[in-house]
Amino acid sequence: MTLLRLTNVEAGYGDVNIVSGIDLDVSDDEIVTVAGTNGAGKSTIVKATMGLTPRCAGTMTFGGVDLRRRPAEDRIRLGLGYVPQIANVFMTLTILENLKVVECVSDFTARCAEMFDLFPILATRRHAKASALSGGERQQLAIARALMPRPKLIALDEPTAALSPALVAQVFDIITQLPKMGVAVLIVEQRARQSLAISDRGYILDSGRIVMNGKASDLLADARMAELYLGREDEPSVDTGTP
Amino acid sequence: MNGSLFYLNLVMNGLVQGLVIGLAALALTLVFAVARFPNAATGDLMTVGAYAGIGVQALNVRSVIVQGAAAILACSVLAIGQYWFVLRYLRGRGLVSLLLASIGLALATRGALSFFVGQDQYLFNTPIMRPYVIAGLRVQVVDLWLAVASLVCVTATFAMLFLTPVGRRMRAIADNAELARASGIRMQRVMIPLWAAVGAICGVAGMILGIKTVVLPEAGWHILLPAFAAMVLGGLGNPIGAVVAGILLGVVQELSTPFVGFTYKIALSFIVLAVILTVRPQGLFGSAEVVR
Amino acid sequence: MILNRRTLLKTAAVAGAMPALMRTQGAGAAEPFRVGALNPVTGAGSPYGSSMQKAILFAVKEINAAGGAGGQTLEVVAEDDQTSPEPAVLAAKKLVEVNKVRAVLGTWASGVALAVSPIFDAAGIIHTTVAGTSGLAAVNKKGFAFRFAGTSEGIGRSLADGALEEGFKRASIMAFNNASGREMLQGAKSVLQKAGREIVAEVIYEPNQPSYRSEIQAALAKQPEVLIMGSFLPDLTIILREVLQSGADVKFVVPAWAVTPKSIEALGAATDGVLLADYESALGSDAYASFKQRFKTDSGIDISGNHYASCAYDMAMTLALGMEAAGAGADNAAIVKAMHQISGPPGKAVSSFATGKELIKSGQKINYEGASGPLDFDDGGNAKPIYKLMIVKDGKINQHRILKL
Repeated sequence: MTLLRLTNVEAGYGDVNIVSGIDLDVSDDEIVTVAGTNGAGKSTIVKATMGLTPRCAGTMTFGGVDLRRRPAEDRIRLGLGYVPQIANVFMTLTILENLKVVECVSDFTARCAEMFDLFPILATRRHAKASALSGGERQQLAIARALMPRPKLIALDEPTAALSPALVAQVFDIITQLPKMGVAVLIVEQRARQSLAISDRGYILDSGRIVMNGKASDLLADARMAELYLGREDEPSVDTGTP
Repeated sequence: MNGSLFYLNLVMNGLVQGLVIGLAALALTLVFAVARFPNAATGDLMTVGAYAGIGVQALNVRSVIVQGAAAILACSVLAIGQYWFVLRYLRGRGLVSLLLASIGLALATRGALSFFVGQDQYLFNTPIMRPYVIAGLRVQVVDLWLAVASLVCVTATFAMLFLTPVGRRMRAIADNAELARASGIRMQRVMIPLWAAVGAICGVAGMILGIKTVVLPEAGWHILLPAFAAMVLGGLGNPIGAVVAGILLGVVQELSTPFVGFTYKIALSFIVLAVILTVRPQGLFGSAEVVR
Repeated sequence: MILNRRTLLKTAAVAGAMPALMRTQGAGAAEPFRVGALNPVTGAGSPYGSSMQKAILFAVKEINAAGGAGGQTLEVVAEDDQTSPEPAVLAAKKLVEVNKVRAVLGTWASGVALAVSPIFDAAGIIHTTVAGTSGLAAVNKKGFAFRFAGTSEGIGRSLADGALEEGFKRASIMAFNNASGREMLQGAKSVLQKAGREIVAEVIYEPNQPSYRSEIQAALAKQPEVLIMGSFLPDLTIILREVLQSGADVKFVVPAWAVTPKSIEALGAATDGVLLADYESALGSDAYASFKQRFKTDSGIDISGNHYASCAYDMAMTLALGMEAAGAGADNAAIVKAMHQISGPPGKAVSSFATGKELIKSGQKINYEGASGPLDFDDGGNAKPIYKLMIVKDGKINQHRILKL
């Protein structure tokens, strides 16, 4: 069943639209990748979905609810989770506080324990400031924070940017587990090849417009697509089942 | 009075001055951290607190605790009012709009005060008590109580910030406003307690200033500049930094007087500020913003 | 709020001037003699300014009721100088260029008086002030300015003289860091040095400090017997309290304006023995008592504690008697000359405009004895100051002695 649906969405900052004519949907238990070159407007799509762009027009529904009537701070209550690209944890708060500060968490203790099971490194450092974490640990905390209120979908904005290859694998590994927990994933990535490899479907964005979409495997197999958007095949890659 | 004792007494004088500056800086920095603007109405909020205390005294209530409670109440109500009726509508319009609005609120508050209570000075009738002299160091009884009051105020503020859910939300917003929204934190729910706390701090600071000096419509306004300095020095939006920098500013000011004289001590504190900011633009203790 | 108050006063001023305007037009008499009332209605001088302005309006009402002066009625244009030089200069220019006033009465702050004096001097306009700064002499080139109160330097000398006459040997001087405070310090210093007394410390302090303990510590470090204070009300209140709290055994000589019954009450019994120096106004004279009572009846204002209201009243009276003595159509130079003549000896002492006008008409010399004092201007236009010492006893201010200064 379709969870998130964007129809003819345009969004941007000030007077400028960064993206326009966006039609995109994400269903239950699905991983969807939005790929594209730097500056294509990938992050803007996620921010618009979260209600964080000053300008946004078009239709947006989540679980059948019209999103545009809901301010950003209410979208979490519908089951939308968000992991921004940068500044994705509260640096000055401790790890435990980062988890505690999230609203709409019904059974904090139990949920917290689940997160610590999922991310054991966080459990051992629960009273450390988030600023003391390494890049990979920080990404884990960011995902844990977004998962706290048991969202139906989480949107990840370039979760592997600025991570070492080993950590990239680790993060993608975590992401692949999410649908099993009942969480759909919308992921925006520059490492398109790796991201599509773990995805069900994908969208390719160029200059603010969707130029291609389809099954992830088809997109990966498309020669023209590979040449234009996916980068060379010998790009530093990790063992995540790349064909 | 011999050398070291002379300086020790100066340090003592500076501590007392610094506490007032530190409290004002704490109120400033809280607003800066969460609402993202330098609140120029902070000083006049303090003045209102002092007048509220005077009002209670005029009703023949001599208890400083009751006077202080009235000051806290009056300032909190006014601060929430300023937020609810003015500042709330300017959210997202940027620092300059909010700063200008707060200057307007400051002028309106001061104008209203001088219109309704006039320019005559008022005094708290605190009994004149002789100081404790401990090994030559003069410690005023009143100062001791005022120090206790400000420490209680600072402790309560930090307890709120670090031990309560609402304080945690405030720190989250201060740290990363966008992420806070995405985490479901509703601005309004945090802003009302924030302005109540800012009002309470200003109430206490206003009472202390009033008890130490005289109550005039301009009284709090004159504290604003050193408080700004302390806020910047302590690292914008850093509450601990603001209090420590306030005290430091007071002590440095007083310690400088044998060398630069009394008319230049204020200028000196700003020179110190300029120098430190040149070397450490993030302030002595860094700020939430810079850490991020 | 400030605007409201100012507008209120302007309305009052227009209302006061209105009957005069209508009368002159009805009678077809000469053009009214326009007078500016430039007073500190708002700002630091506001405790005094609005009563000063009302006292001027009240005086002009009396003058016009007695048929005006020199064949003309007086018309007042009221302005607020906001106790600040910039708005004062704007108002002064308006008075001169738009309202075409012949005289401006009642500036209060030294900074304001210094800023507007050159404008009035250049335009040949009579200017009366209570500002205490000695700098006024330098800008009073035509001699059209009058000072109705003592100078700051004079108050400073009286403070030191008071300390000497009370027999103190070692004195520290503390003074507020503005023109007036520094002049008080210089005045006090000159008297002490002339008498060969030791000045153990001089401290100039900044206004608006949350505490003056370090300043006090420096002033008291060498154990003076007396602190001579070139101070104003808020700062002196704080300093008095902090010194009394410190338990230091030291006496105070302070300007009378820096202490009020309320501040004495708030500070309590410890203020006993504080000495206050003041110029001897006409307190207790018939002229003062009569003005106080009439003003209270007319405007509902009690001028106790506001010496400057009496000064403002006397400004209008002196001007009007000068106009009368100079005769119809006299220019400002002639009026100024006459103002000197009618305010000092020789002449028959008078304290009301109507009586003075009668006597002048009958060809007699008069000496106006004002509600604020005997006046008797010197060649520089300064009212002759007689200084006195008062003392706080049992929470009350009592007369102590007239100073020989």
